[in-house]
Amino acid sequence: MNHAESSAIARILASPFQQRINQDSVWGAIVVIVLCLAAPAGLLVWSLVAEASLAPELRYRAAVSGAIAAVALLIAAWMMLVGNLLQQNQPAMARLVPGHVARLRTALLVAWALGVLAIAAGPGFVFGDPLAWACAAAAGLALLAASLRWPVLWVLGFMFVFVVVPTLTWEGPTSTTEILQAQWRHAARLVTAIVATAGAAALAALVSEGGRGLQASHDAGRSLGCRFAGSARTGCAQGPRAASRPYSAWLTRQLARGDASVSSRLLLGLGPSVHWTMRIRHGLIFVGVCGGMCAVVVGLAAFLGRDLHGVLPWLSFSLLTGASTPALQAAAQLYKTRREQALLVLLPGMPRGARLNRWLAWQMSVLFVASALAGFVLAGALDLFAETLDKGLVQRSGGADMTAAIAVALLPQVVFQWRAWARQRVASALEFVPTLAPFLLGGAALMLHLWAGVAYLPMGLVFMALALAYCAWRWWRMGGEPTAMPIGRLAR
Amino acid sequence: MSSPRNDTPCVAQGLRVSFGAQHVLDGLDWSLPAGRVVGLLGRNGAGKTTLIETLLGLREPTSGHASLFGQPSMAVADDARARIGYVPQRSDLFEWLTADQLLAYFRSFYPRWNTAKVDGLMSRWDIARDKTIRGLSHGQQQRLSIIRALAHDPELLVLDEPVASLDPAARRDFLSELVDQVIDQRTTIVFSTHILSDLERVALDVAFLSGGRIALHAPLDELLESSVRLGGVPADIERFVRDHRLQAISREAGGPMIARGRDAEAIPPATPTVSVDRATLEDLFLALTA
Repeated sequence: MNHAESSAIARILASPFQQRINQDSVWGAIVVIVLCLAAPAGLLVWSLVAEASLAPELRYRAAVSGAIAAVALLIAAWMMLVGNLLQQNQPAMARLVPGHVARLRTALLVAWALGVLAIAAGPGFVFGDPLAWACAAAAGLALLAASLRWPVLWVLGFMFVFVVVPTLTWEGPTSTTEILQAQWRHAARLVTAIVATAGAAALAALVSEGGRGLQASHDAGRSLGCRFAGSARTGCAQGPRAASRPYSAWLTRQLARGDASVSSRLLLGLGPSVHWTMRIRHGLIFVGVCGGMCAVVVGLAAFLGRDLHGVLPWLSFSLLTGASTPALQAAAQLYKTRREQALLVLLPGMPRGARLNRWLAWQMSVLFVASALAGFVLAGALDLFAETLDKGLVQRSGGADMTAAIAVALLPQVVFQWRAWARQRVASALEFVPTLAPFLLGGAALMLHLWAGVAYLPMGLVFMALALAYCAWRWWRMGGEPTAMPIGRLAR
Repeated sequence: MSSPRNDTPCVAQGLRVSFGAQHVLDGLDWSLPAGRVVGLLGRNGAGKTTLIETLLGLREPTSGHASLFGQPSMAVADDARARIGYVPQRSDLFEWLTADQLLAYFRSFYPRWNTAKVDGLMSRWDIARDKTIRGLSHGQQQRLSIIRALAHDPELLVLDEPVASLDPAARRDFLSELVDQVIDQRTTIVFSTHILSDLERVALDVAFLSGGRIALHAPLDELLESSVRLGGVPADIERFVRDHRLQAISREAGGPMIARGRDAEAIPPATPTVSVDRATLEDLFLALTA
């Protein structure tokens, strides 16, 4: 590779970070990094002042949480980079710019190799067996990249994490995992070579050469790619693609009535993605997927004659988080229809100023709380089902604590629905904070419960009281703030 | 609550809009006379869209004041909103709806709705009613956006580059619709465009936006009749302008000068040293938005 070639690749690799700097303040990224590193840093400081007997354990926990945080940040950077590279892989450029496709491929492979090396050299050397870490990193990073172009891989990944892994590891090391470990010990280099070859081929295939079908695949991949590349402010931001059937039916019904409230019509005008009909549809699909997974686990347990039911409480945890995640992404969803909002606010009868600000916050809160409560009910039902199969299972599996901690942390996230929407910045690293917040607060609740013995109920009540106080303060503040719509028009 | 009727469609006073250190609008004063078609001209990035959005109350001014039918733009009452039609620059809006659903949705808000006009334009402009807006071509989306804005017979129609995606036939049809709108309804129309020939066909007035201000707002015919392009040696041209009390608008280095007289009668004939030709709208655009 000559100098011109390597500097071109360096420019391609730098472009996602330039895009971030151009669209976002550096503070957003700093806040996310600080949040991720807060736990390991806190544990490390604690180990310095704690009793000598506790220090090694605290240092180990700091190392573990630090490794997790570092890997999480590396994955976030990887997704941002791949999202940006896929955006650069536009059909016209692929056809017309000499060497563009080849350089994009090289850049992707170089970044992949650097990511794998970082994980092997970091957690790999800290926890041992760097080759295994490298192999897992190579496969994981390639799969994450591929899932940006082929979204169906998200579903398969979800099933792998929440069904396959717990099924293999439930009841400790089973014969299956032992077989896999033995295979790895026997042919580690061969497995690594296969993973490296397959990963490189998959990554090279992600960058298209042009031709038939590229535009469709580009459009399909773009919305996901944009999400991670953080370019919601550019032409990347698309409105909702098509109305769901329940949304269309409700729209027709409301318009035919003639006396539908302004509130109901305004909510329809904000598009299907923030409408309750779509949320119900999304929830039903999610329940269907989880129900299918339950059936698979129960069926597999019966077929293998083994007790795999301990997986079920973990599924209830994923139900709880999955049901509320779309509501936590309200900012990005509302931002998609900001141009439509310019027409909506000109319509006779539409509220403006404080009335609109409070209406929007209230509507988003109702949608969020309803989603969270639905998640609670479904998770509770699943736990009840697990208990009928095996009494005491939920407690033994460890899933109960995770579910309780998330439950305590979830409802207070209603504060994210009470933002100053006119100044809401969407193309920002902080955009991911609402999605991460239940896990961060839930993690804190879990630690407080396990290490300090604080009960979940009082913790939940305190969190909720603080959240309600914040919402009440925002209600008052919204009286003097600019009209919420169009969202983000005053963002700097 | 209804407010007292005011027939001045739009007024801006000392309007300033800044993005950081950049002043896009810089103390702009402008008043739109009722029943006129005003073409808003400006270079790319001059702030036409920002001006339109600020006038309509879609963007807060950093300072200054804008009003629509006598009401502050940021707090326009329902009766005034029912008198406004707006076609934004991008027409790929409400893509998840069909054309019929979009029109039914907007119809539900307006106290009056001209169904005959909507049906006529939908069939004349050949827009599929049951197709999602996403499935329409850019030109059809733009036509639908125009129909939506005309459907409630607005008294003030604001169009932000409305003909960018239209073919010549559709543009001609759209312009004749605008003329009908003015004749039938006495609608005040503001539209920004870069296609000067379209503007010459329908605009009664023309306003040039430059340096964050309206550099000139004048009746188009009057402006064209009273503006000239002067050619010759610079010293001769300057003497000619001074002697005939013309107003110099601009001069390119070593090129012709664009100047304006009080009216058509004030334009003197050419001399052996200075040529006098009628200025075109393009000459005026280049001179006034430099």
